[in-house]
Amino acid sequence: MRRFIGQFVHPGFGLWAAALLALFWGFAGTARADLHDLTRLGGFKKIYLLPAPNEPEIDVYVMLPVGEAQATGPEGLAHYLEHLVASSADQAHGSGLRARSHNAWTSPFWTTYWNRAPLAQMDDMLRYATALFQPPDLSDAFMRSERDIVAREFDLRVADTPSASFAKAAYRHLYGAHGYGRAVVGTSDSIARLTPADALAFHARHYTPHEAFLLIFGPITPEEATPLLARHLANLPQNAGPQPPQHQPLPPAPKAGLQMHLPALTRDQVLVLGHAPAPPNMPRRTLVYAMILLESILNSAQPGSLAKPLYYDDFVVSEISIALQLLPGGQIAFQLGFSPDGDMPTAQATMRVQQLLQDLAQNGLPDATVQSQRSILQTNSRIAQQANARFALQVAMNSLQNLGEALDANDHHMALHRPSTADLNALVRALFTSPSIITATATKDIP
Amino acid sequence: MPPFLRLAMATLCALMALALPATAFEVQSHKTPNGHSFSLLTMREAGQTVVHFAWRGGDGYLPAEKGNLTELAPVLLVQGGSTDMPITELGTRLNAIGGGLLFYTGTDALHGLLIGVAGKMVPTAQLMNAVMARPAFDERWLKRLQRSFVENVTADQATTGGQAWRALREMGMGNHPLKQVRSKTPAENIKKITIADVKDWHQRSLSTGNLGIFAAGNASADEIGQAIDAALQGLPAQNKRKDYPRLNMRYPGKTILLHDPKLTKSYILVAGPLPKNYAPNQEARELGMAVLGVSDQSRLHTALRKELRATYAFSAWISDFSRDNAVLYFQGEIATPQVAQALQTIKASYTSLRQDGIGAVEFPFAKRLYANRAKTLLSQPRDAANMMAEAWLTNRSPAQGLGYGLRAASLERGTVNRVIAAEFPSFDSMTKIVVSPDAKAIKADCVITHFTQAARCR
Repeated sequence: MRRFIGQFVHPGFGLWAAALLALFWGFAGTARADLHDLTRLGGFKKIYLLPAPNEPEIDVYVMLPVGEAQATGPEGLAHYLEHLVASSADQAHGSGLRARSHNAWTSPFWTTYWNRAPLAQMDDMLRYATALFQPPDLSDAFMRSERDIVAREFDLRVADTPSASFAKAAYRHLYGAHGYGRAVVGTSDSIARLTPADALAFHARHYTPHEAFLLIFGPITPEEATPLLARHLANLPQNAGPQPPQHQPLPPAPKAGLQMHLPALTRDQVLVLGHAPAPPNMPRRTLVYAMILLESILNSAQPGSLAKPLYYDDFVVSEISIALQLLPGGQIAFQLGFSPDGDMPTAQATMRVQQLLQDLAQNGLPDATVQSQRSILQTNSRIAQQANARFALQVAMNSLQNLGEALDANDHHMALHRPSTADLNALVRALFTSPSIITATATKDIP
Repeated sequence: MPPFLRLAMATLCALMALALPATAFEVQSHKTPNGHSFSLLTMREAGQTVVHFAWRGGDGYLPAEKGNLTELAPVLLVQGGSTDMPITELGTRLNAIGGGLLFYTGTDALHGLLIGVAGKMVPTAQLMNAVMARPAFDERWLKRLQRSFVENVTADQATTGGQAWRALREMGMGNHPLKQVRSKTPAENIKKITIADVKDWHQRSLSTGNLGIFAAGNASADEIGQAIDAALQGLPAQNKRKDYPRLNMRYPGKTILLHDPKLTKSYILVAGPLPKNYAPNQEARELGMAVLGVSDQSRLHTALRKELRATYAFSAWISDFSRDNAVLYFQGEIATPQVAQALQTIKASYTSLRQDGIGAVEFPFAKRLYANRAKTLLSQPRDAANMMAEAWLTNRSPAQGLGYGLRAASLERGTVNRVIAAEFPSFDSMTKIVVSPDAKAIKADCVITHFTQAARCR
C-alpha cells in the first residue's frame, strides 16, 4: 500500500462521525516509558528498548530503510518481497499455531516487520527478527502463488478506489521514472510480472541488519532483554556491508499539470504535489519539528490554515488536507489534496487554493497561530505521555524514521519548542514557491 | 470530516494501551448539584475522563424516507457549531484544553460523549453545551453534508462488498424503516432532509430526561458532576424519542448470485442469525467467531489464503441490525475462478467448527488474543463508559456490563463448544451471497443483476 506521505485522498471523502476530538488517548496505565539505547549489543544500526510494565505483551519492530523507491523492474517488488520474507520468518516457531501475532508493511522508503507476544515467546520473536536477513526459505511454488495473494490485496486496496489510481498517476507525473514515482503495491500487470528471483536479488542487495533498526516495547527490562538479544544477534548474517545510500537527483517537474478522467469518482479531486530543498542552515531536528508544527497549523482551523478560509468560511472545498514528508535525499515533499465544494467549479477552487499558498508564502503565518498551535501540540503531547505508554513508542518510531535516532517523549515535547515562526515561514516559502510543484486534477465527467 | 478532526480521529485510532484501572470496576453512584444521577468508574491513572450520555429511544418517529437524518443530524450538530461561536473557534478551544465531543446514534438511543482532562472538565462541558443547547444548524452545512453523504453511499454501493450487504438487507429487512437507515438507499432520500427536520430531531432528542449518564476516568466525582450540569444546562426536560417497530430479520437459506459483468472482482458474504448480543454466552460466541475468522491463524484465513490461495483477507465477525437482531457473518474478496471452491471450503471450515468445536491445542491460542482484546477494552475510559451505557440500555447493571473481561477470561473450551453447537446457525440455513462478474461463478438458487432485486430471492 502506498504510504508515501499518507492516505490523504480517501475513497469516501468525508468520514461520517460527529466528532470534535482534540486528542483522545483514553487509556489508563503508567505511561512513562524510558528509552534505553542497546545499540552497543551490535548487529543492527540501532537497538532501542522501551520498557512498559503494564503492557500485557511485548512488541518487536524491525524497521528497514528499504522500500519501493529503491526497486527496479515491475512495480511492487519491495512489497512482494515483504510478503515472502514475512512468510519465511514466521516459521521461527516451527510449524503449527503460534502464540504470537505478526504483520509487516511497506512504503516507498521503509519496510517494517512487527511481532507481539508474551515474554515467553521472546526467543521466537528475536528468531523472527534475525530470520528477516536470511534469504526467504520458501518453495518456488509458494513464492509464485504469493503473487496471487498480492493481486488480491491490490483488488482490496486499489481496484475499487479511483483515488488510489489517481494518486499513483500524480506521483508518476511529478517524479517520472524516479523511484519516488513507483507504486508500492504495483498494478495488476506488474504484479503478474514479479519473479521470485528478482525478489531474492532485491533481498540480497538491500536487507542488511547494519542499516536496520530494532525497537522493543513492552513488559521487559533491559536486564531481561540484554542476554536474549546477545544470543540472537550472534545469529545475524554478516552481510557484506551496507550499500551506500544512493539518492538519484530528482527530475525537473513537468511544466504542465495532469488531467485525468475517472468516471468512478463521485466528486472531482485535485492533488497538488511538490518538493523543495530544505531551508539552508536549518538543523535537522529543527527542520523535522518545523514540519510537524507547520503541518499541524495548515490542517487546523486557525488563521493561517488552509481549512479556515477554504473549508469553514468560504465553502470553497469540501475537504482539504496537507501532509509533509522529509525525503531520503533531504528534500521536503508535500501532498495537498482537496475536492471542490457544492457547485464550485474545480478550476476556480484550484485557483483559490493556489492563491492561498502564494499568500502564505508571501505573508507568512500569524505568530499568534504558531504559538497557539505549538501550545495545543504540547498540551496534547503531555496528556498522551501521561496516559499512554504507546505514545513513547510512536515518538520513537517517527523519530527513527526522520532523524535516524529514537527520541523519548520528553525530548519530543522539548523539540516542539525548537522551530521559531521564522523557521516555519522559511519552510512555507521554500515549499510553496518551489518550481517543483504540479497540480493533478481528476474529474468524474469529461472535462 | 475537517482535516483537524480527522487528524485527531487518526490519532485516536493509532494509539492503544493496556492497563487495568487501579481499582477494578468499583462503580459508584453519584448525583450532580442539579440532581442528575450518574455512575462513575474511577480510573486513577487514566489521562482523560469520558462522560457518556445516552438518550434512550430510537428515531422511530421519522418517516421512512427521512431515516438517514439519524446519522446526518449528529454530524450537523457538531460540524455546524454554535450560535455562541463558529466551529473554528469552538474546535480550537477544545483542542487547547485537550477535550473532545462525539455524538452518534444507535437504533435505540442517541449517544453523546464528553471527553476531557481532570481540571478542565467544566470548560469542556460548557463547549459541549454551546453545541447542544444553541446549535447553529446552518443550511450550507446541511447541503454540504447531504452531498458528501450521497457520494459516500454511491461510492460504497459501487463496491462488491457494498452490493453484497445491500442485497442481504433487501432480503432480510423487508420494508422496515431501519432498511433506509442501514442501507441509505435510495440515496436520493437523503436530500429530502431539511433544517426543520433537524431542528425537530434536536428538540426531541437532547433533553435532561430519559437520560443515562456514565463516567469513567480520573476526574473527581465533584468535578464530573459540575461538568454534567454544565453540559445539560438549558436543555428541555422532556425527551420525545420513539423506538422503531420490532424488526424480524430474515435469512433465507439460499445461495444468491449477484451477477454484474462490469465488476472486476468477486466477493462472498455469508450471514445468519445469532442470539442478542447482550444475551448470556456472548463471550463464548465471540471466541467462536474469533477462531473462525479473526486472526491470521483463524480457520477461514488458513483455509482460504494459506491453502486455497484465493484471498488476501477473509474474516468473520458479529454485529447486529437492531438490538434484537444479532448477525454472524463471514466475508471477503475471492479470486473469481475460485469462488465455487471457496464457498465449499467455507462451508467445510464452518461446519467442522460447529460440529467439532475448538480443539484443545487451538483453544489457548485463540483465548490469548480474545482475552487481550477484552482487557484492552476495559482499560479505556471510553469503552468502560460505553459498557456501562450499553448495560443500562439493555436493562443490566453497570457491573454486568463491566464484567465482560472477567467472563472472557473465565471461558472454558467445553462451554464455548456447547454454545457454538447450540447457537451458531447451520451453514445451510445461512444466506450465501456471491457478487461476481462471472455468471457461472457459482450454482445459485437465485440470480439477480442488481441488489434492488434481492427481495425476490426470499
